[in-house]
Amino acid sequence: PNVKLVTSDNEEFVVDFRIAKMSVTVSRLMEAMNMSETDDASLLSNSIPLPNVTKAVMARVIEWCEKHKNDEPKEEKENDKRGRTTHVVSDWDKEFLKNDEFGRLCQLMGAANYLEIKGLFNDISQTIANMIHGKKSDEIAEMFNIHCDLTEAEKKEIRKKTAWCED
Amino acid sequence: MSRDSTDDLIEEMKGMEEKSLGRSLPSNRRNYEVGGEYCCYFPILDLPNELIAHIFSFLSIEDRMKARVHKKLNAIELESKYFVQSLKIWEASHFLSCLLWLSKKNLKIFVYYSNMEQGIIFNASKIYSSDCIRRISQNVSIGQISIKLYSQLNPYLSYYREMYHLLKNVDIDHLILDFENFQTFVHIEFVLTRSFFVELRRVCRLLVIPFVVYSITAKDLHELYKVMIDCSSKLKIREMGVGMNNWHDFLSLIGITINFGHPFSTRHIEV
Repeated sequence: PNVKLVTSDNEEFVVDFRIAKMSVTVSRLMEAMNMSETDDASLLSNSIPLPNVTKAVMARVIEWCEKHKNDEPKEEKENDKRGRTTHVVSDWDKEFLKNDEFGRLCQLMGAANYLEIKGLFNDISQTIANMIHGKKSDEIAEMFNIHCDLTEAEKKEIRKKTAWCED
Repeated sequence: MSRDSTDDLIEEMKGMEEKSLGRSLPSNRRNYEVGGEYCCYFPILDLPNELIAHIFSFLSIEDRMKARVHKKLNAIELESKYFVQSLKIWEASHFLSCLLWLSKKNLKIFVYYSNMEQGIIFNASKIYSSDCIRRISQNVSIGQISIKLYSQLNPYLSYYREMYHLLKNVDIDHLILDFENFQTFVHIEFVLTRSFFVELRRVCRLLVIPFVVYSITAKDLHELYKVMIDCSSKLKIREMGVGMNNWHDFLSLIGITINFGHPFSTRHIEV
Protein backbone atom coordinates (compact mmCIF):
# COMPACT_ATOMS: atom_id res chain seq x y z
CA PRO A 1 0.00 0.00 0.00
CA ASN A 2 1.13 3.54 -0.74
CA VAL A 3 0.84 6.80 1.17
CA LYS A 4 0.73 10.29 -0.30
CA LEU A 5 2.96 12.93 1.28
CA VAL A 6 2.60 16.58 0.27
CA THR A 7 5.51 18.99 0.80
CA SER A 8 5.43 22.71 1.49
CA ASP A 9 5.83 23.47 -2.21
CA ASN A 10 2.84 21.26 -3.03
CA GLU A 11 4.79 18.37 -4.45
CA GLU A 12 3.17 15.02 -3.92
CA PHE A 13 5.35 12.04 -3.06
CA VAL A 14 3.85 8.57 -3.16
CA VAL A 15 5.75 6.25 -0.86
CA ASP A 16 5.38 2.77 0.53
CA PHE A 17 3.46 2.52 3.79
CA ARG A 18 6.56 1.09 5.46
CA ILE A 19 8.63 4.10 4.40
CA ALA A 20 6.00 6.50 5.69
CA LYS A 21 5.96 4.68 9.04
CA MET A 22 9.68 5.38 9.49
CA SER A 23 8.78 8.95 10.35
CA VAL A 24 7.24 9.12 13.80
CA THR A 25 5.53 12.37 12.81
CA VAL A 26 3.93 10.88 9.69
CA SER A 27 3.03 7.77 11.63
CA ARG A 28 1.17 9.86 14.19
CA LEU A 29 -0.59 11.89 11.52
CA MET A 30 -1.76 8.74 9.77
CA GLU A 31 -3.13 7.44 13.02
CA ALA A 32 -4.92 10.72 13.64
CA MET A 33 -6.44 10.54 10.16
CA ASN A 34 -7.50 6.92 10.65
CA MET A 35 -5.30 5.71 7.84
CA SER A 36 -4.32 2.07 8.12
CA GLU A 37 -2.29 -0.34 6.07
CA THR A 38 -5.23 -2.66 5.53
CA ASP A 39 -7.67 0.08 4.56
CA ASP A 40 -6.77 1.05 0.99
CA ALA A 41 -9.62 3.55 0.75
CA SER A 42 -8.26 5.52 3.70
CA LEU A 43 -4.83 5.70 2.06
CA LEU A 44 -6.21 6.72 -1.32
CA SER A 45 -8.49 9.44 -0.07
CA ASN A 46 -6.01 11.12 2.27
CA SER A 47 -2.65 12.75 1.88
CA ILE A 48 -0.26 13.82 4.63
CA PRO A 49 0.66 17.52 4.55
CA LEU A 50 4.26 18.25 5.58
CA PRO A 51 4.49 22.06 5.60
CA ASN A 52 8.02 22.08 7.07
CA VAL A 53 9.66 20.06 4.32
CA THR A 54 10.47 21.15 0.79
CA LYS A 55 10.47 18.98 -2.31
CA ALA A 56 14.25 18.84 -2.59
CA VAL A 57 14.71 17.86 1.05
CA MET A 58 11.88 15.34 0.95
CA ALA A 59 13.47 13.55 -1.99
CA ARG A 60 16.67 13.16 0.03
CA VAL A 61 14.79 11.93 3.09
CA ILE A 62 12.95 9.31 1.06
CA GLU A 63 16.19 8.17 -0.56
CA TRP A 64 17.63 7.61 2.92
CA CYS A 65 14.51 5.81 4.12
CA GLU A 66 14.46 3.51 1.08
CA LYS A 67 17.95 2.38 1.99
CA HIS A 68 17.15 1.85 5.64
CA LYS A 69 13.66 0.40 5.49
CA ASN A 70 14.88 -3.07 6.46
CA ASP A 71 17.08 -1.95 9.37
CA GLU A 72 16.59 -3.59 12.72
CA PRO A 73 15.41 -1.10 15.33
CA LYS A 74 18.34 0.00 17.45
CA GLU A 75 18.46 -0.50 21.17
CA GLU A 76 19.41 2.53 23.16
CA LYS A 77 22.32 2.09 25.48
CA GLU A 78 22.07 3.35 29.02
CA ASN A 79 24.76 5.97 28.58
CA ASP A 80 23.25 7.31 25.40
CA LYS A 81 20.32 8.52 27.41
CA ARG A 82 22.58 10.20 29.91
CA GLY A 83 24.65 12.31 27.65
CA ARG A 84 27.42 11.81 25.21
CA THR A 85 26.10 10.02 22.25
CA THR A 86 28.12 7.94 19.92
CA HIS A 87 26.65 6.98 16.64
CA VAL A 88 28.25 4.96 13.92
CA VAL A 89 27.54 6.42 10.50
CA SER A 90 27.49 3.55 8.02
CA ASP A 91 29.56 3.75 4.87
CA TRP A 92 26.48 4.13 2.73
CA ASP A 93 25.28 7.01 4.92
CA LYS A 94 28.67 8.71 4.77
CA GLU A 95 28.57 8.52 1.02
CA PHE A 96 24.97 9.73 1.06
CA LEU A 97 25.80 12.84 3.09
CA LYS A 98 29.23 13.45 1.58
CA ASN A 99 28.14 15.70 -1.24
CA ASP A 100 25.68 17.76 0.77
CA GLU A 101 27.09 21.17 1.33
CA PHE A 102 26.52 22.53 4.80
CA GLY A 103 23.40 24.54 4.05
CA ARG A 104 21.59 21.50 2.72
CA LEU A 105 22.83 19.36 5.57
CA CYS A 106 21.26 21.86 7.91
CA GLN A 107 17.91 21.69 6.11
CA LEU A 108 18.07 17.91 6.08
CA MET A 109 18.76 17.88 9.81
CA GLY A 110 15.77 20.16 10.39
CA ALA A 111 13.58 17.85 8.32
CA ALA A 112 14.83 14.71 10.08
CA ASN A 113 14.06 16.37 13.39
CA TYR A 114 10.61 17.50 12.30
CA LEU A 115 9.75 14.13 10.79
CA GLU A 116 11.33 12.34 13.76
CA ILE A 117 13.51 9.95 11.81
CA LYS A 118 16.06 9.18 14.46
CA GLY A 119 18.60 7.29 12.38
CA LEU A 120 18.92 10.06 9.81
CA PHE A 121 18.90 12.73 12.50
CA ASN A 122 21.79 11.06 14.33
CA ASP A 123 23.67 10.44 11.08
CA ILE A 124 23.64 14.16 10.35
CA SER A 125 24.43 15.19 13.94
CA GLN A 126 27.39 12.83 13.99
CA THR A 127 28.53 14.09 10.58
CA ILE A 128 28.50 17.69 11.78
CA ALA A 129 30.21 16.68 15.03
CA ASN A 130 32.91 14.99 12.96
CA MET A 131 33.46 18.27 11.13
CA ILE A 132 34.05 20.04 14.44
CA HIS A 133 36.19 17.30 15.92
CA GLY A 134 39.87 18.12 16.30
CA LYS A 135 39.62 21.65 15.00
CA LYS A 136 40.81 24.75 16.78
CA SER A 137 38.37 27.45 17.80
CA ASP A 138 39.28 29.80 14.99
CA GLU A 139 39.04 26.97 12.48
CA ILE A 140 35.56 26.13 13.74
CA ALA A 141 34.52 29.77 13.53
CA GLU A 142 35.89 29.94 10.01
CA MET A 143 34.26 26.71 8.88
CA PHE A 144 30.82 27.84 10.04
CA ASN A 145 31.52 31.43 9.10
CA ILE A 146 30.61 32.52 12.59
CA HIS A 147 31.26 36.12 13.29
CA CYS A 148 32.58 36.11 16.82
CA ASP A 149 30.38 38.32 18.97
CA LEU A 150 32.40 37.83 22.14
CA THR A 151 34.10 40.78 23.75
CA GLU A 152 37.84 40.73 24.28
CA ALA A 153 37.26 40.10 27.99
CA GLU A 154 34.94 37.16 27.26
CA LYS A 155 37.38 35.72 24.77
CA LYS A 156 40.14 35.97 27.32
CA GLU A 157 37.94 34.24 29.89
CA ILE A 158 37.17 31.40 27.47
CA ARG A 159 40.80 31.03 26.47
CA LYS A 160 41.75 30.79 30.13
CA LYS A 161 39.33 27.92 30.59
CA THR A 162 40.24 26.05 27.43
CA ALA A 163 43.98 26.58 27.42
CA TRP A 164 44.57 22.90 28.17
CA CYS A 165 42.84 21.74 25.03
CA GLU A 166 43.93 24.45 22.63
CA ASP A 167 47.54 23.40 22.31
CA MET B 1 -12.76 38.29 10.59
CA SER B 2 -11.68 41.93 10.59
CA ARG B 3 -8.85 43.11 8.44
CA ASP B 4 -6.57 43.79 11.40
CA SER B 5 -6.92 40.35 12.83
CA THR B 6 -6.30 38.81 9.42
CA ASP B 7 -3.10 40.82 9.15
CA ASP B 8 -2.13 39.71 12.61
CA LEU B 9 -2.73 36.13 11.62
CA ILE B 10 -0.61 36.53 8.50
CA GLU B 11 2.16 38.09 10.55
CA GLU B 12 1.93 35.25 13.01
CA MET B 13 2.08 32.66 10.26
CA LYS B 14 5.12 34.37 8.80
CA GLY B 15 6.75 34.13 12.19
CA MET B 16 5.95 30.44 12.37
CA GLU B 17 7.25 29.96 8.88
CA GLU B 18 10.54 31.54 9.79
CA LYS B 19 10.81 29.27 12.78
CA SER B 20 10.07 26.15 10.81
CA LEU B 21 13.31 24.62 9.75
CA GLY B 22 12.70 22.78 6.55
CA ARG B 23 12.27 26.05 4.69
CA SER B 24 14.10 28.41 6.96
CA LEU B 25 15.90 31.27 5.33
CA PRO B 26 18.53 32.18 7.87
CA SER B 27 18.84 35.78 8.83
CA ASN B 28 22.54 35.80 8.19
CA ARG B 29 22.24 34.19 4.82
CA ARG B 30 24.49 36.82 3.29
CA ASN B 31 27.25 35.29 5.34
CA TYR B 32 27.31 32.18 3.29
CA GLU B 33 25.81 33.34 0.06
CA VAL B 34 28.44 35.27 -1.74
CA GLY B 35 27.79 36.88 -5.10
CA GLY B 36 24.59 34.91 -5.51
CA GLU B 37 26.48 31.64 -5.33
CA TYR B 38 26.02 29.20 -2.56
CA CYS B 39 29.31 28.75 -0.81
CA CYS B 40 30.07 26.10 1.67
CA TYR B 41 29.23 27.70 4.98
CA PHE B 42 26.97 26.04 7.43
CA PRO B 43 24.39 28.25 9.10
CA ILE B 44 24.87 26.49 12.40
CA LEU B 45 23.68 29.49 14.40
CA ASP B 46 20.33 29.33 12.65
CA LEU B 47 19.60 25.89 14.00
CA PRO B 48 17.30 25.82 17.03
CA ASN B 49 19.14 25.53 20.34
CA GLU B 50 18.05 21.96 20.97
CA LEU B 51 19.52 20.81 17.67
CA ILE B 52 22.82 22.51 18.42
CA ALA B 53 22.77 20.90 21.86
CA HIS B 54 22.17 17.56 20.16
CA ILE B 55 25.24 18.06 17.96
CA PHE B 56 27.21 19.00 21.09
CA SER B 57 26.19 15.69 22.66
CA PHE B 58 28.34 13.95 20.03
CA LEU B 59 31.45 15.93 20.93
CA SER B 60 34.25 15.23 23.36
CA ILE B 61 35.01 17.68 26.16
CA GLU B 62 37.82 19.32 24.21
CA ASP B 63 35.69 19.76 21.12
CA ARG B 64 32.81 21.14 23.18
CA MET B 65 35.10 23.68 24.79
CA LYS B 66 36.63 24.70 21.50
CA ALA B 67 33.31 25.05 19.74
CA ARG B 68 32.30 27.94 21.99
CA VAL B 69 33.16 30.57 19.42
CA HIS B 70 29.97 32.57 19.80
CA LYS B 71 27.84 33.77 22.72
CA LYS B 72 24.97 31.56 21.65
CA LEU B 73 27.15 28.47 21.31
CA ASN B 74 28.79 29.20 24.64
CA ALA B 75 25.41 29.47 26.36
CA ILE B 76 24.07 26.31 24.74
CA GLU B 77 27.18 24.36 25.69
CA LEU B 78 26.75 25.37 29.30
CA GLU B 79 23.05 24.56 29.37
CA SER B 80 23.28 21.08 27.92
CA LYS B 81 24.30 18.39 30.35
CA TYR B 82 26.52 15.59 29.11
CA PHE B 83 28.13 12.39 30.24
CA VAL B 84 31.78 11.38 30.10
CA GLN B 85 32.60 7.72 30.62
CA SER B 86 36.07 8.14 32.00
CA LEU B 87 38.11 11.13 33.05
CA LYS B 88 41.55 11.36 34.57
CA ILE B 89 43.07 14.32 36.28
CA TRP B 90 46.63 13.25 36.73
CA GLU B 91 49.81 15.13 37.06
CA ALA B 92 52.39 14.82 34.37
CA SER B 93 55.00 13.18 36.53
CA HIS B 94 52.71 10.18 36.43
CA PHE B 95 52.19 10.52 32.76
CA LEU B 96 55.39 9.14 31.33
CA SER B 97 55.08 5.77 33.03
CA CYS B 98 51.49 5.47 31.87
CA LEU B 99 51.96 6.74 28.36
CA LEU B 100 52.21 3.35 26.81
CA TRP B 101 49.25 2.00 28.66
CA LEU B 102 47.09 5.00 27.87
CA SER B 103 47.91 5.05 24.21
CA LYS B 104 46.26 1.65 23.93
CA LYS B 105 43.08 2.78 25.58
CA ASN B 106 40.80 5.44 24.35
CA LEU B 107 40.49 7.25 27.64
CA LYS B 108 39.87 10.86 28.27
CA ILE B 109 42.87 12.35 29.95
CA PHE B 110 44.04 15.56 31.43
CA VAL B 111 47.63 15.66 32.31
CA TYR B 112 48.82 18.23 34.71
CA TYR B 113 52.16 19.06 36.01
CA SER B 114 51.83 21.38 38.90
CA ASN B 115 54.64 23.75 39.44
CA MET B 116 53.04 27.01 40.35
CA GLU B 117 50.45 28.06 42.84
CA GLN B 118 46.93 28.56 41.47
CA GLY B 119 47.96 27.28 38.13
CA ILE B 120 48.98 24.12 36.39
CA ILE B 121 51.83 23.61 34.06
CA PHE B 122 51.64 21.20 31.22
CA ASN B 123 54.95 19.70 30.24
CA ALA B 124 56.53 22.27 32.48
CA SER B 125 56.12 24.98 29.91
CA LYS B 126 52.52 26.11 29.90
CA ILE B 127 50.31 27.30 32.72
CA TYR B 128 46.69 26.32 33.11
CA SER B 129 44.28 27.45 35.77
CA SER B 130 41.71 25.30 37.52
CA ASP B 131 39.03 27.33 35.76
CA CYS B 132 38.80 24.69 33.07
CA ILE B 133 37.73 22.08 35.59
CA ARG B 134 35.33 24.55 37.16
CA ARG B 135 33.72 25.22 33.81
CA ILE B 136 33.46 21.55 32.96
CA SER B 137 32.08 20.67 36.39
CA GLN B 138 29.05 22.85 35.78
CA ASN B 139 27.29 20.57 33.32
CA VAL B 140 29.15 17.29 33.10
CA SER B 141 28.38 13.98 34.74
CA ILE B 142 31.11 11.39 34.89
CA GLY B 143 31.18 7.61 34.89
CA GLN B 144 34.59 7.22 36.46
CA ILE B 145 37.01 9.89 37.52
CA SER B 146 40.47 9.31 38.83
CA ILE B 147 42.39 12.04 40.62
CA LYS B 148 46.12 11.85 41.10
CA LEU B 149 47.52 15.11 42.27
CA TYR B 150 50.76 15.46 44.06
CA SER B 151 53.73 17.62 43.79
CA GLN B 152 57.37 17.18 44.55
CA LEU B 153 57.15 20.65 45.98
CA ASN B 154 54.79 21.84 48.58
CA PRO B 155 52.97 25.12 48.00
CA TYR B 156 49.99 23.85 46.00
CA LEU B 157 47.66 22.68 48.72
CA SER B 158 45.13 25.41 48.24
CA TYR B 159 45.12 24.52 44.58
CA TYR B 160 44.67 20.82 45.26
CA ARG B 161 41.94 21.50 47.74
CA GLU B 162 40.17 23.61 45.17
CA MET B 163 40.38 20.82 42.62
CA TYR B 164 39.04 18.20 45.03
CA HIS B 165 36.25 20.42 46.17
CA LEU B 166 35.15 21.09 42.61
CA LEU B 167 34.18 17.42 42.53
CA LYS B 168 31.36 18.12 44.91
CA ASN B 169 29.44 19.77 42.09
CA VAL B 170 29.81 16.92 39.64
CA ASP B 171 27.56 13.90 39.31
CA ILE B 172 29.99 10.98 39.64
CA ASP B 173 29.41 7.23 39.54
CA HIS B 174 32.82 6.13 40.60
CA LEU B 175 35.46 8.32 42.20
CA ILE B 176 39.04 7.18 42.64
CA LEU B 177 41.14 9.31 44.94
CA ASP B 178 44.65 8.17 44.43
CA PHE B 179 47.02 9.42 47.08
CA GLU B 180 49.96 7.34 46.04
CA ASN B 181 53.06 9.39 46.72
CA PHE B 182 51.03 12.26 48.02
CA GLN B 183 53.99 14.16 49.27
CA THR B 184 52.50 15.72 52.31
CA PHE B 185 50.30 13.10 53.95
CA VAL B 186 49.60 15.47 56.75
CA HIS B 187 47.74 17.69 54.37
CA ILE B 188 45.28 15.11 53.15
CA GLU B 189 43.17 16.08 56.09
CA PHE B 190 42.55 19.35 54.32
CA VAL B 191 41.05 17.41 51.47
CA LEU B 192 39.22 14.58 53.20
CA THR B 193 37.26 16.62 55.66
CA ARG B 194 33.87 15.70 57.01
CA SER B 195 32.23 18.41 54.95
CA PHE B 196 33.93 17.01 51.88
CA PHE B 197 32.42 13.57 52.46
CA VAL B 198 29.06 14.96 53.42
CA GLU B 199 28.92 16.93 50.20
CA LEU B 200 30.37 14.09 48.20
CA ARG B 201 27.61 11.71 49.18
CA ARG B 202 25.14 13.83 47.24
CA VAL B 203 26.93 13.35 43.96
CA CYS B 204 29.09 10.24 44.15
CA ARG B 205 28.05 6.60 44.22
CA LEU B 206 31.28 4.70 44.67
CA LEU B 207 34.45 5.90 46.33
CA VAL B 208 37.80 4.16 46.00
CA ILE B 209 40.94 5.21 47.86
CA PRO B 210 43.40 2.53 46.82
CA PHE B 211 46.46 3.52 48.79
CA VAL B 212 46.91 3.57 52.53
CA VAL B 213 46.45 7.03 53.89
CA TYR B 214 47.67 7.13 57.46
CA SER B 215 46.23 10.52 58.13
CA ILE B 216 42.67 9.21 57.81
CA THR B 217 41.90 8.87 61.51
CA ALA B 218 39.38 6.72 63.28
CA LYS B 219 37.32 9.83 63.79
CA ASP B 220 37.30 10.59 60.07
CA LEU B 221 36.19 7.04 59.38
CA HIS B 222 33.44 7.35 61.91
CA GLU B 223 32.22 10.54 60.29
CA LEU B 224 32.27 8.83 56.93
CA TYR B 225 30.46 5.84 58.41
CA LYS B 226 27.75 8.12 59.72
CA VAL B 227 27.41 9.69 56.31
CA MET B 228 27.05 6.26 54.73
CA ILE B 229 24.48 4.77 57.06
CA ASP B 230 22.37 7.86 56.64
CA CYS B 231 19.73 6.58 54.23
CA SER B 232 19.78 9.71 52.11
CA SER B 233 23.25 8.80 50.93
CA LYS B 234 24.00 6.79 47.83
CA LEU B 235 27.72 6.69 48.63
CA LYS B 236 29.46 3.33 48.87
CA ILE B 237 33.10 2.54 49.42
CA ARG B 238 34.81 -0.28 47.61
CA GLU B 239 38.33 0.06 48.78
CA MET B 240 39.99 2.32 51.23
CA GLY B 241 43.50 2.33 52.54
CA VAL B 242 43.59 3.01 56.24
CA GLY B 243 46.28 2.40 58.83
CA MET B 244 45.56 -0.74 60.90
CA ASN B 245 45.53 1.05 64.23
CA ASN B 246 43.12 3.64 62.95
CA TRP B 247 40.91 0.89 61.60
CA HIS B 248 40.77 -0.82 65.00
CA ASP B 249 40.06 2.47 66.70
CA PHE B 250 37.25 3.10 64.27
CA LEU B 251 35.74 -0.32 64.90
CA SER B 252 35.80 0.26 68.60
CA LEU B 253 34.09 3.59 68.05
CA ILE B 254 31.14 1.78 66.51
CA GLY B 255 31.21 -0.89 69.20
CA ILE B 256 33.33 -3.60 67.61
CA THR B 257 36.44 -4.92 69.26
CA ILE B 258 38.96 -7.30 67.85
CA ASN B 259 39.38 -10.35 70.05
CA PHE B 260 42.22 -12.65 69.04
CA GLY B 261 41.99 -11.42 65.45
CA HIS B 262 38.21 -11.79 65.16
CA PRO B 263 35.74 -8.94 65.26
CA PHE B 264 33.47 -9.10 68.27
CA SER B 265 30.59 -6.95 69.36
CA THR B 266 27.90 -6.88 71.98
CA ARG B 267 25.68 -4.99 69.56
CA HIS B 268 23.85 -6.17 66.51
CA ILE B 269 25.94 -5.28 63.48
CA GLU B 270 24.62 -4.86 59.99
CA VAL B 271 27.19 -5.37 57.33
